[in-house]
Amino acid sequence: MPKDSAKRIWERFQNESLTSKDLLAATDRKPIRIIPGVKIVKIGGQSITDRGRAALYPILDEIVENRRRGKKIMLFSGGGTRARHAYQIALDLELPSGFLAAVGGPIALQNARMLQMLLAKHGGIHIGAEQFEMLPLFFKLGCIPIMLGMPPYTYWEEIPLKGSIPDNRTDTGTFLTGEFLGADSVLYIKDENGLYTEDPKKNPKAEFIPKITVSELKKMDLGDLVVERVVLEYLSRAKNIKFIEIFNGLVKGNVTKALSGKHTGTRIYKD
Amino acid sequence: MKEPEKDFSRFHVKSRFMRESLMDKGVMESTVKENQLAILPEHNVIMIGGKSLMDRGKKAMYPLVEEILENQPNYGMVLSVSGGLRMRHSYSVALDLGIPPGGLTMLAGTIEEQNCRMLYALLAKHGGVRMVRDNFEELAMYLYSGMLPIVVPMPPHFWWEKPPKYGNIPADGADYGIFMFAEVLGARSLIYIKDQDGLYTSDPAKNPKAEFIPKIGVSELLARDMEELIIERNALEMLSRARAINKIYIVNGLKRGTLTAALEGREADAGTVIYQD
Repeated sequence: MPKDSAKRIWERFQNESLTSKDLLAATDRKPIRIIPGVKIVKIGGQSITDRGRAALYPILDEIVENRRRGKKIMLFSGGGTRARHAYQIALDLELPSGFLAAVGGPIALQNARMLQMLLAKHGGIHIGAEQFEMLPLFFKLGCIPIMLGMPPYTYWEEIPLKGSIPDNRTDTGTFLTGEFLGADSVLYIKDENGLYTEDPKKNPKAEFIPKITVSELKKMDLGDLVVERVVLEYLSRAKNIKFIEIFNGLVKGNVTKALSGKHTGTRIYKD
Repeated sequence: MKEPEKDFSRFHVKSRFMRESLMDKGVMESTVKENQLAILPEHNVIMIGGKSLMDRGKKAMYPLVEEILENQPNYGMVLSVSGGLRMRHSYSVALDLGIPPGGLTMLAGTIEEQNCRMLYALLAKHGGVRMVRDNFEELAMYLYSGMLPIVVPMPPHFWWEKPPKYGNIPADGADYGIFMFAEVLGARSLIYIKDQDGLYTSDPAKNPKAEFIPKIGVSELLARDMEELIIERNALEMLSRARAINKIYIVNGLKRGTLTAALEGREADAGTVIYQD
């Protein structure tokens, strides 16, 4: 596709509307990778952190070991059961979705802080948006940066497609960080082997899907998904991320396997 | 000694979403609400175009400020200014450097800060006050003491910009951000001030035959799939899903009286109205 030069785009910017589809299309290009080789890992809230030590400690042991071997790993926290409780109360009070996002975020923040306390002795460092531009330093020092998975949209959360629970939650924030930094995949540690045709906790006959593309998955129109629905939309438009992988962190060795780039759970590929 | 079996069970807080997948369609459906609490329902949100007004300087901004002040005794207002030409320039340089959309968002906010500071300078002696996003919950204090809070319109997406549908320009820009701000507050009205009378069938600056559209439903407008629009697509998309804001005004800030007409709800004198249909 022919793309306008930067000078030509500046000329057009002065005279055309930024809503012009033709002008927007002319700005299409592959961005640079900000931190090449970064590994983006989310630790599920309800699926892992809420299970406490038994689930979390072995996962962190593997993370630390992989960091020691030189992998640049960035961790993200989920919300989990307390976020759900907060959503229920906020919903009952008939609050707008922006308020649900604003009360859901602090729970992921608690979980990020707990991860930091556990990992401090191995270089775990909790960062907010204010420290985001210091990531190169933290990686150089051998740290494991930890962020809450929730994107910072808070009161500016978009209106959900269905219902009132924010569409953009911790899977999304994790994904978007990876896409910005230039990761080529995002790893989601959950308590299931990956994606099934139905929730395997409810239907033991649900079939496992080891790999699938976004468009194939959309065609299946599943009633339930293992990852936030908007992540699939963003993956289909991503410039850096080629796939996301959801795998079972309760199985020993899976974290190391996935971090080594081996197919571990379900991979959802950009078409 | 044999190692005891690991207990992987969860610590739960009891709630209706406990053990549920929030991605489940049935669960999502169960959260559909008829009503949404209005947080600040008496106040109006006004968005001043950066390129269309602020970039024109005194001759555009002074009369507009006068009109805002004339309405101050009757209407509580939150004001905002978008980036304009310098923002577009930052975009074109950043694009050339290969910076991803989240980086462009970070740059845009800086330019809006400049414009909001300049608006603050014009309004300070009349109660203009800058409200940074962290002080969102102080908004009631400003408004109920008759002040004019000035907010940056870009939503706080920062580096977490969603990959845009078209090209590399952030799709959730100033128009979208101020829409979400008005929506979450359940504001009385949302008015976009531009340098055109409102919406036309095509750009009237380029096509003299372009027809003016005084009133249109948002789904009808989106279905027309126009090549360009007077307001960001995602802001319109949000209007079509909105629970609180059911219409927006687009008025010509270079024409005295159109802002007042919109505040008073006189649609016929207030440019274009896009409503939820």
